[in-house]
Amino acid sequence: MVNWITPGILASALLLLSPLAMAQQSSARIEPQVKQSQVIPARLDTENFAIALRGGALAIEDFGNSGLAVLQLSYHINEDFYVSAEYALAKAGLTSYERLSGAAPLLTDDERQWHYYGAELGYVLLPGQVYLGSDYAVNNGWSLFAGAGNVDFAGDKVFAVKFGSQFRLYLTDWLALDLVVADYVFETTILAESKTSHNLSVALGLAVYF
Amino acid sequence: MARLWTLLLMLAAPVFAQQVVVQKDFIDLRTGPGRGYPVVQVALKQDSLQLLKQRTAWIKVQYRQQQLWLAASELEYLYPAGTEQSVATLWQAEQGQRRWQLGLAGGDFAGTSYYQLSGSYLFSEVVALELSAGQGSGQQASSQQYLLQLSISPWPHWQVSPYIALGGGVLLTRPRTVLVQTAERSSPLATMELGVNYPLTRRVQANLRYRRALVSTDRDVNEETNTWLIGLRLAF
Repeated sequence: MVNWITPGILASALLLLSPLAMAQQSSARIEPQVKQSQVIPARLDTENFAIALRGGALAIEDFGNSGLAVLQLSYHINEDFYVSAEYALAKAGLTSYERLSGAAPLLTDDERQWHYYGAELGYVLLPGQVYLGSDYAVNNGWSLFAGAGNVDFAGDKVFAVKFGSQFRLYLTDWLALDLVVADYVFETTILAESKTSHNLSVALGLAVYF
Repeated sequence: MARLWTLLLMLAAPVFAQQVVVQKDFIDLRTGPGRGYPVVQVALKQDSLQLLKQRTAWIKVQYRQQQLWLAASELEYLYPAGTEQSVATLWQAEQGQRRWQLGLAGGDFAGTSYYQLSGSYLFSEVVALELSAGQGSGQQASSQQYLLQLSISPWPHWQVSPYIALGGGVLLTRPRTVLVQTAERSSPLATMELGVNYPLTRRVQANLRYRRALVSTDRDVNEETNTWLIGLRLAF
């Protein structure tokens, strides 16, 4: 009998104590008091602005071809759209009339300065990669744009519409080569009657993203 | 010297913090910042990347030996090492309100083509002050406007959020002549503008506005003009 009772008591005591022991053990475990430090990654440097400088040729209607310089600041709204502000300048040559008749020039030297300033909205229609030989893959983007501004020419300031296309070849992430073909359209009254003049331009340049 | 050290630390700290771990099955890595550029690499779960810079909604990353681009929408699945929140969540919490806006708008002013540049300062989401310079060109005359307007948009969180603005400024007009140089006329004007804003991206909103202006002239009667504009505002 004795033999049966003792192990029985011991077993029940063990059963009673074991949860206690377990509880004691778990409370004895050292919980780490280290607070996780919040590492907030710094905001990234954004490169949504680009400044471009281009040189090329402008055909000022009736005044022949002349050199063109363009300075343009763009902001990329998203991967598709961008807005630009542009300043362009050129100097008009002589009209055929002035050349052939030998009469007094129609405009003074100062009035031959052609300035355009305006803004435009562009859409990158064809982004992608082009391949130069078998070793080089170059990113590029072909975009269309339209905008408006002012043309300051022949002593008159007129409203002008501008549209065209731009081919941009990315030499690196932040440096690109630009080829822009644009038409500046405005009403002119220089040669007596009012008419719409188209002034086509082509310009090559570099754009820097920052 | 201490200041210099803190500055150096501040500059150095982000470099460590930009290390992130991919928590998604895979992330496409492209050669350029746009969906038009080919996917040339894939980062797998638990791979580590380094964030370099951002252009529009694309992030340039260093992955192994390559520098490639991933969409900013993937930031939701990128976790800085040792944190339980994604980069997207962490940045969102940190984001404050942008205070300055640059605006560009074009349209019609009293029958002439008109466009304007503007700068705004946002006192809060509701109240803003806008300074604008505009240029109008018509068949008979060209004009310039310089205006200062205070605007109130009572419901800034609406998708299409209306606003009302009151202000004033000066209108300069010059008749267009070819041979005769004519004097510029300057007249003060008071304006009331109604408009709606529509967000295009987090930083850019489109707007449509109508402006009624009372131009005080030298003559006995004052002129009232209407301006219709469509434009964009970029936040900084």
